[in-house]
Amino acid sequence: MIVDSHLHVWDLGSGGYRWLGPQHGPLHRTFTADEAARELTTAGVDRAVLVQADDTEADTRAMLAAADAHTFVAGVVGWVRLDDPATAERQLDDYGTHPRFCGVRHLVHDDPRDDFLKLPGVRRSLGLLAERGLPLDVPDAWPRHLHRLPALADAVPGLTLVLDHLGKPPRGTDELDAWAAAVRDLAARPNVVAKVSGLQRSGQPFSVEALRPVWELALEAFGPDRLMYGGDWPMTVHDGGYAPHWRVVRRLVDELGTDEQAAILGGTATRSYGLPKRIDV
Amino acid sequence: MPDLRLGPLGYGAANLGNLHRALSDEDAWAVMDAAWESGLRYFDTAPHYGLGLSERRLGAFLATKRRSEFVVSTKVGRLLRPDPGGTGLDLANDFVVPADTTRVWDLTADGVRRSLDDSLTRLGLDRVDVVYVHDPERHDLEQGLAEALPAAAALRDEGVVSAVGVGSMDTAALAAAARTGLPDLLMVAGRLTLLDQSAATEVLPLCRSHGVGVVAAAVFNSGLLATDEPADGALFDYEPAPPALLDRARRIAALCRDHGVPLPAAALQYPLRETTVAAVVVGGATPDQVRDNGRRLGDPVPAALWDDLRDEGLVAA
Repeated sequence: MIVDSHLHVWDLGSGGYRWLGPQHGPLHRTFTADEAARELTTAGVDRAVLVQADDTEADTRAMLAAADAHTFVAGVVGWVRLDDPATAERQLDDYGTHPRFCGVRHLVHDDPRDDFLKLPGVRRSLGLLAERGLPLDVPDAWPRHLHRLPALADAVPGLTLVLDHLGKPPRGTDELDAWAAAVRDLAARPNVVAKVSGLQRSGQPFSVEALRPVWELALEAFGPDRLMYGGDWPMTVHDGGYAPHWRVVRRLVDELGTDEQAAILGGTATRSYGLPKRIDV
Repeated sequence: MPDLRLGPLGYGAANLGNLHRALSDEDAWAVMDAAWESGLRYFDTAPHYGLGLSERRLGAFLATKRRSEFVVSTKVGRLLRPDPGGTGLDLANDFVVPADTTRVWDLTADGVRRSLDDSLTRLGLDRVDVVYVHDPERHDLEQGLAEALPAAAALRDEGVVSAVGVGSMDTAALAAAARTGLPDLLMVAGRLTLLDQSAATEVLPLCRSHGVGVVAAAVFNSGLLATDEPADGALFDYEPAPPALLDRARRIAALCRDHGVPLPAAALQYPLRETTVAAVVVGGATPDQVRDNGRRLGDPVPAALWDDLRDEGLVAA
């Protein structure tokens, strides 16, 4: 069974996604769970984790509704108001108890506060996540947050950090070495896992050879048991959509042994998010 | 967790307040000297210990040292008030000091600040590094967590102290304190020892979740684990140990002997195997006791001892 650890759906009719506008071209439309299911079926991927796409309760509730309606949804990484621990606790006690609610993310890369993850209130909320066994996904950590994550991982050893998109490597720039050093530093912490997802970068080729340097760095730093594949659809529609991306990553994964493949294509996500081994309908 | 150099071993200064037996000022000084010479640099005290005597003696000693070389913690919760009508000794609290002062519970924000100010005066220091809310469950846990702990956290955020926490023998109180997300440290007294691992299951997971460090105190459980061979009448949590507990302590001692490890060395090192434990704090009423503890920290303990203790069901993990 193959699990995609990172997929999005959204409904523009629901009131909207602040970051998403007409300037995003083909991305600026509704993407439903039905469409996601078709993409996954075409690619031969069995399950997916839906990940929040805006810091709103409505977005998370819509994903949980999709989880109720679709058996391909293995889990939902939702949003809670981390900077207000009382609200965060209320939300965790409310929709956070949904059986598919498996993790939390906040769009830290869009948040103007550089020290967001160090705010006392946020730290208190992260303790609540750790207590409930819910990991924290960190999107697009490079360049603003990646170097802050090791201290967070050390300070809260009970919290699992999920580095989305390998921290968003600045491929094709001279900053790639600095990114690699920061990823190595973070990967030295046992409570951090990472997603091989979202590696597209405008102006840069998305091919086996173009991805190989960051892929090999990720393998060396985290090892397959701490890496999970993510499609990051529909963010990939600019570059051909789900299947073309999946084929590139799949070819890299195919170079590994069977156990290593199983980890990256499902085992790590299942363990990290506590996903159900099977979903009864 | 704060970046304080606490461990691995600190000196717990209840004995300096004449716990169970009176020390002369010279005796007390010799104990502190032995601790310092053994390399200990973390000292924990409280107003409760000997109605301020422990703080006064510790402060006088630390005045001879460079401030940057040691870390000191004290506690808040009980204010000390003159009690002109008080007679006799403070034996009800196990301290051999004149009962001319009395403890008054105060877990309000104002009480926390006054308590710390009074402690600084007795210590003769302009700051302590750590302040713990002391035994809040013995007065009003809810107020301790809703008023005293936030007040202590405010002192930390103002830079008055470097770290705050709660010190208690009660795992429920410690767990509730961890859940507030406010403490940097918890002083776990007697609940993370070879004889009692209740904190390992009830408190430490919350500490890992909330990023709280642990200082393990009373690792000999008042004496039962302090000698190679637990004696009849040895104390557990300040009371004579019940027979079942004494029996278990002796089985632990026998296993230690099989592995060539003195029981107190195993007792001292056991909590340090937990990664969340920043330090173990032990007391000592004589220079020899203090020096022995310093040495026991370095005694080799084979991993097989921990495995055997677990396999025999004598410790939880």
